[in-house]
Amino acid sequence: MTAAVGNLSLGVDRFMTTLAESAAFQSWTASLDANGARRRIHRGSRLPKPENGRTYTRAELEAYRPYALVSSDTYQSAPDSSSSFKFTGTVTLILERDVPAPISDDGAEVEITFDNAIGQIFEDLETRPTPEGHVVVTGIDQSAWTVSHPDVLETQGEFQTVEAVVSYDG
Amino acid sequence: MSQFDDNFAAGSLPALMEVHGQTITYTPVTGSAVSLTAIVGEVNSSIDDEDDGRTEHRERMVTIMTDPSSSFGGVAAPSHADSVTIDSEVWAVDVPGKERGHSVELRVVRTPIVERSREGYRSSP
Repeated sequence: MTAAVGNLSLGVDRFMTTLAESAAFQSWTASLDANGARRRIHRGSRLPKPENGRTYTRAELEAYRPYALVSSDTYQSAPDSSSSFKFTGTVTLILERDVPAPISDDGAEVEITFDNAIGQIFEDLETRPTPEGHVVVTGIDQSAWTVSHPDVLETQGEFQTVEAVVSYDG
Repeated sequence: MSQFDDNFAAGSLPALMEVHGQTITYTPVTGSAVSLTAIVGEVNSSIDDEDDGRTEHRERMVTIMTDPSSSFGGVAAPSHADSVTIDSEVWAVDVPGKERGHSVELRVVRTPIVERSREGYRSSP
């Protein structure tokens, strides 16, 4: 993949680094460390194309999950001093997981386990230290999550998805 | 049931099943899967544009007998959320049709994802 250059791309890269270092995200993706978690984060507005070039198989989608999909959204800059600019922006973050089979018939459990996991990831993003190469998250605007329709079970599996717009200072 | 349905069930349908039938597996949402003979229609396919990507909608019609003791096998009360396996592909029973002449026509569907994206990724055509 082409390396990120310029603040618009770097902002997304730094957000992905920040997300990968979240302990809650690492736990959610069952990753040993940030490098493992990074492999669960896909940059772009869509998943890589299906292997057969046409449609995803259920196994292919389940191999992706749980995953994050991160893409650039908006960008703003303003003078910071007489010689430099400060930039801010937003990224679109999609988080998707398979509904764990043991709880799939328990709607309340499906909801609270997802809310717990996503909420802890958001807390990490909001509170973790932000060294060089990271972004300072300044806001999260999460839409209502969805769960897949029963009719797509055989072709897509059973999954939950949430989309959020995350604001950051670059 | 009309006289035509009776005649069709007694003569024509078994002949059609004999010639055009293929073995499929019918799996009710509760209960055990059964192997039976069905007349399986061609696949109709379309692409649905959605906010978060594109999905292929595939559907076909499947005719089965409603008498489980028939020599072709059958399902007395097929219902939504049951599934059928045709050539190793699992299809969801979308709409069970009205029983006619000891047979029923089912609309079965598969909806694989073509593209998974953030909302609003594609502009309108």
